[in-house]
Amino acid sequence: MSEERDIAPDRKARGIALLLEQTARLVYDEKQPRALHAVQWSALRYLERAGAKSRNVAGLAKYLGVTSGPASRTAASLVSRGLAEVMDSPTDSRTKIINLTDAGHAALEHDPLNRCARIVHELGDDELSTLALALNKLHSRLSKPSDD
Amino acid sequence: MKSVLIIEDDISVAEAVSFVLERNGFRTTRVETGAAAAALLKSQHFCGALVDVWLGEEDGLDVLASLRAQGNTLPVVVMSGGGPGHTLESVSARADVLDACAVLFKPFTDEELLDAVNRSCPDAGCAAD
Repeated sequence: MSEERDIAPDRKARGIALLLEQTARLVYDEKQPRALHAVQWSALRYLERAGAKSRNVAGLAKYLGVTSGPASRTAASLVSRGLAEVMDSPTDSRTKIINLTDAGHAALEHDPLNRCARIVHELGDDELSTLALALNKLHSRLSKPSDD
Repeated sequence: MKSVLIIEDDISVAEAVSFVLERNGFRTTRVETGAAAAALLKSQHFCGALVDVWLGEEDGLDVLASLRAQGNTLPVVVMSGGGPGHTLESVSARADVLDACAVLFKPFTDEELLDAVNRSCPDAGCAAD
């Protein structure tokens, strides 16, 4: 009995960790072959949010945490789908910026994160506040090098 | 005059941000650490704050989380150019979770800075002590 009590907190923590991982997977549960990948959704969100001086491949790379090659390919995949377009920068004619097209803006109305966000929004204030602080702490710790 | 606290350890960025805000009618105070910001917020009133994510050894979002955990609801604009352990995507998500009013991705224009600060501190009656 005492042994079970000793291991219970660890088991519960592992259960919560697994639930977090499974919850994240559920967000992108789209099975259609033409469905956008998670990284493409991330790029669309970036292009909607970034300002004119950072809406380029270098900015997208920093947003995604990748090098310029993968960022460039992600941007190109959005352009080929008609969701984004490359244009001369209004602030610096030597550089290019990436803008969302009308189709890109329309796609974001169906962002798979929206469903999850709506469910989170339904939580009570206390639940929401506790979840926010707990997730922030968890993310902050996980993004630092492991002590293991 | 609206007063804005700038929490930024890069002096050149802090000076540039301060210059733009002061030229547009704000009073600014600059600090380089979370501890200095927390101490100042106990004794002075600010209409809002700008916090950089990469504060040397400190994480600006941890500074913001600490303020929120103490019940501080100051309107905050987060600035970031990314960095090790800080993709701009995770910065945006954490800033949203911590009720930041806006996230500015570096580099940003003067207009984007002013728009973010004006939107975060819309109360014309808010002024420094």
